[in-house]
Amino acid sequence: MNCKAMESLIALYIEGDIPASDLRRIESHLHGCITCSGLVDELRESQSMFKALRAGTVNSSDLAGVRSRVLNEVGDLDPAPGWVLTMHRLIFAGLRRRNAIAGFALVVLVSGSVWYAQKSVVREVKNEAPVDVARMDAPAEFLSPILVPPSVEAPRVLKRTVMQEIPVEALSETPASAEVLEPTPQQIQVSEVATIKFVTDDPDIIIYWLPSDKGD
Amino acid sequence: MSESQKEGERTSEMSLLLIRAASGDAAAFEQIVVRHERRVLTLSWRLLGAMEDAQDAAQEVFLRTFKYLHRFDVQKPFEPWLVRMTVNVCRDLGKARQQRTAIIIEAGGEYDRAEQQDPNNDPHAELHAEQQRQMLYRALDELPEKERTAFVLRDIEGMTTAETAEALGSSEATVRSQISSARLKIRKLVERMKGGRR
Repeated sequence: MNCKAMESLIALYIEGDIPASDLRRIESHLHGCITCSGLVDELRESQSMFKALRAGTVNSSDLAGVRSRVLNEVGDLDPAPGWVLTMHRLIFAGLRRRNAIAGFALVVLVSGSVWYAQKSVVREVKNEAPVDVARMDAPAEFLSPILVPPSVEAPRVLKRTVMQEIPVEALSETPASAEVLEPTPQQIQVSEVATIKFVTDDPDIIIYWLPSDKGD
Repeated sequence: MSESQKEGERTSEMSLLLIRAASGDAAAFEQIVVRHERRVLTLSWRLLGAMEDAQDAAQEVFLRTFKYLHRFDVQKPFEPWLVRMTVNVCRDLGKARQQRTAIIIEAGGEYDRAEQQDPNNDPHAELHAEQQRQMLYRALDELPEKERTAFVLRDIEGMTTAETAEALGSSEATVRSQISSARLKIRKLVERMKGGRR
């Protein structure tokens, strides 16, 4: 290490403000460096001059002046009211001030975070784009009291989907080749019945409207 | 009675005084002032350099002490709290008087009221000592505020690095860095002043 880098360590070394690990390093450097040894002497000299200032003290008249001014001022001041002292002792009882303040700050921070999270969820729901809803009035018979008990709120119909309908003429056509299969009874049934699917705002409830053979 | 017992008694006596003073007992507060005024005024004077400013600072320290005494935990030692408050008050006052200090220092004679002179001493030696004191304080005044405060507490007040760090509200590593820098600058300033005087 060069002498310039040593300077700051030497400034600590002269008053014993340096760890033992650095101490050996500095002493070995000082042993072979005249410049740094000179710096040590100069620093010690200036330090001893300043330490001489410790002996200096203030005049009694200066002290008396301060005391009388303070006591006059204090006479005009009111001490903290009793309830402030009591509250202070209650709040900080058994706790170090810093810990109490840190705890309070933590509680405020957590409460604030929870409040903000809840607020942002509500805002997201409000900001959602309105869904295109195909509204239709269900037939009166469909909303009969048997299907929807009066005590339960009826789900709102959001979308109506008509299942694919197979024209009856197509079923009656003769197949072009022998490989065309005969329609099964199920297919015939599907083709003849137009099923209406109601999607409600409750994802668990989907209503299928299956008109009877008579068309009602 | 052992030293530790005496120390314990002193501490409990101080705690009682602090509790009484916090409740508005003026006599108890006066005793606290009497016990600590020398320390507060000396430290203020060393930090600010001028006795007039130091008196203002000491007054402010004790008034703040009276005002905020109810916040102080009497289980803890009182003096570090007071020293920390003194440092803060001097820092505030120091900022306010920064410009005018330079003019006063140039005019000289600002530190002359600080120490009691022994009338039996040789007047020439006294003059020399006084000149040296003024030179040292001028050197101190050229340091940046934080370095000067750390240097005064550690090297003139004789506090440990840990005590200095507590008074300044900083770490020991920061204090070490500040006092190292201050000592090197002070040495250069002293050398320069000695050279200029010759």
